Amino acid sequence: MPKKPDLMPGTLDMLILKTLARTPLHGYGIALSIKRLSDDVLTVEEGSLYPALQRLLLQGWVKAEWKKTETNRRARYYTLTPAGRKQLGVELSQFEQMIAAIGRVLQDA
Amino acid sequence: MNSINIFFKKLGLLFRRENFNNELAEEMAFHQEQTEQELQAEGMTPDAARHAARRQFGNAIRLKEQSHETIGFWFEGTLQDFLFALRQLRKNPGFAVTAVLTLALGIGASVAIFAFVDAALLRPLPYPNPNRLVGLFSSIPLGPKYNISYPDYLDWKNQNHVFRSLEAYDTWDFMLKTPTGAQLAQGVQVSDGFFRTLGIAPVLGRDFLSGEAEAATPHTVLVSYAAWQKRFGGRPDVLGQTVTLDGVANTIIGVLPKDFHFAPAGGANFWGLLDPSGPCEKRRICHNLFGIARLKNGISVPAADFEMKEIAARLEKQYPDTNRGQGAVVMSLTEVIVGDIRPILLVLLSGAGLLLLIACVNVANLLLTRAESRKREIAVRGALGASRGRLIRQFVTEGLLLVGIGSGLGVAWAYGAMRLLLRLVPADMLARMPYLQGLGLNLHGLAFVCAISLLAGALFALTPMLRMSLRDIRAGLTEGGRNSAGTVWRHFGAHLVVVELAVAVVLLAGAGLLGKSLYRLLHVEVGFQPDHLAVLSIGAPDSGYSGDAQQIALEQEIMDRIGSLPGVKSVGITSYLPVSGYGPFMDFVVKGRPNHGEHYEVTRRQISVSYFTTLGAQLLRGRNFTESDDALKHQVAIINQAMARKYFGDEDPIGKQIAYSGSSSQSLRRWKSSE
Repeated sequence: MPKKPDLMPGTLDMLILKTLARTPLHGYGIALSIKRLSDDVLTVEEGSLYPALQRLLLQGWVKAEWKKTETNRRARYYTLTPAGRKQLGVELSQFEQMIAAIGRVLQDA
Repeated sequence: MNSINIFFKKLGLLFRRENFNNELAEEMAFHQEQTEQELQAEGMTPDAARHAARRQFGNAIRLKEQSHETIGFWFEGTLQDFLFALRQLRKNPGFAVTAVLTLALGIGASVAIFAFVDAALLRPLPYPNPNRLVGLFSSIPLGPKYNISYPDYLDWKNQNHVFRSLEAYDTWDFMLKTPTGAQLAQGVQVSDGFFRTLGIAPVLGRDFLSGEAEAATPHTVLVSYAAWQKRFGGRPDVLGQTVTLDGVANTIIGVLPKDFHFAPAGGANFWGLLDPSGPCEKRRICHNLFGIARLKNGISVPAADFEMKEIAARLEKQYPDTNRGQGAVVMSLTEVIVGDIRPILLVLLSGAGLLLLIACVNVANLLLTRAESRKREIAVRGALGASRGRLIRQFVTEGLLLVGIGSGLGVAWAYGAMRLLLRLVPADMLARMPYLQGLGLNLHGLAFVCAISLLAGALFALTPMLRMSLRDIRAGLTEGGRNSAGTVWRHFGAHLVVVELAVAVVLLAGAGLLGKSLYRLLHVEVGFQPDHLAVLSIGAPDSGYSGDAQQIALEQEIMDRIGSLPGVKSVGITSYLPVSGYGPFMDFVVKGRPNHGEHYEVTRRQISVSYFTTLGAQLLRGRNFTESDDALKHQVAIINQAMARKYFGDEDPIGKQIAYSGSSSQSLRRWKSSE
């Protein structure tokens, strides 16, 4: 199995926020969503979602509440807050600026 | 705004930490179960699916730790480390007690000595811009730090261009009239600008006025704060009160500040003015004053010294009779006041520093040994997911904890040591070191404690850290520990022992030499038997004891009364104590010897017939004084061996006649030679 690329540092928070922007999800759901949408290219060490989620909760960018899943299990669902949506915008624009800058450097070379 | 929100959220979580843990564990477990189910659905065996799910999830313990760190306060981890370090120390009481006591000893000694250094060397002079103050002395053939005469002082004051002001002072023992009888009290007589030169203003009343001494006003006097409190109850109506000093009425015009002290004055209570018309002040030969001065801006001490030496040379030409061989010496006031004590304190501080170094090396060695035995523990913690940073933090905490306890005990012991050391200083010496009054743990001392604690803490944190390279952590699991790194660090321990031994040898040699010096000092041959001698200073007011006859009667009465006390074998009287270095010096000429301007200078004591017997001193040649000597036509004297050698050489001094110059009587004396 070829080694998958590590996630760029600092992008995990952005990915989580973006994922939650579509719909509220539990932790497992977030991991699954990231994996699927990236065609299995981006696999985070799944557990590292949880420290990241604590960070986002603390910042007030996401909210959490316990709900029943479709299979009637108890799970903690995370929802994006308005502050989180704003933060996502900030991070996205910063990220795009960086990617554009990297792209320009690579093209020139 | 957001940070305040975060703070309150953290605070909220702090109180429902258990809830937080349970919820986190539940959702993590849920996540793993979901993964497991999915993998099983893909056809994995349940066992394989569980393992795969765990692998995919990552180190759950470490992730929980990370979550905690995210939502916890920074000090929570530190507190945890701290409690763990405490448990570690409790589990090894032998190690803990040894290390802490060693450190306390080293730190305590350093802090105690530092307090003295701080008091004596770092802030000895409680005056504004103390480094611009200098002391002035007259240098004579006998030595460089002798008194100045009043006429010389006036010439120095008027002719110099280097001082903003130059003033003079003289210690002054006098009889203070009190309701319960006369008391011997200490004071200082100063020229009128003395306090303005120091930069000190009275807290109550006024300073001396310029020209006050010359004016025909009543005598005025300033009192020290201590005397104001003790003798006058701290009442403001002390101003204008009259005190009788040496039979002369003096009006109190001011009270000096509480923290004012002037080391050369000792515990002076009264500060009066020098009397320009006094019997000594009128004569250039009579040296009774010390000078202090404030340098002009931009003038250095050596430059002032140079100019004053030039002025002294000019005066020497102008007044060859009185000033021959006399120069001027200018030195910083700090040097005058603490010059003698500085080397002692620096030696003590170095000694204490070396002791601290030994203590630190000892404890570092103990830590190394312990790190060796903790290798497995560290390896296991590393394997269980403790990050290297976290392990290092643990060591730092343990080191700081050791130093913290050591410093605490050390400071307590330093406090006791300071009291003890102060008590070891004789009272009259302490009076001349008033800067030691403020001795104690001040900000300087605490900063010093913090500095050495941090250094020691860094050392102790570093020692086991170096020992625990990452490779070691892995090697530690195999319990072997006999890899090459182990040998290197064992050697490091051996090097530490070498350093320690070297320092200990230096310290011991130094202590031995000091001890030997002290022994020699105590056994210097002084020419008399200093044991079983008691000293009593007696003063008598001029009123009532002004005539020779009255003074002789008083002396006789004192000697008779003391001599009749039980246990007193003999009593003698002297104008100045032996080996004290004090005493008036005078010029003399040898009768019948041609004088080509040679300058013979000696110090003189006036003694009673019984003086040498009481001291237990032996005459080398000649005879002792007798009671009938007073009736002789000329006076007689006894000289010491040094004077006989210096001024009479191979001649036999006995029976030679000399005359003191500069005195009108020119009395002749016969000489005998004693030790």
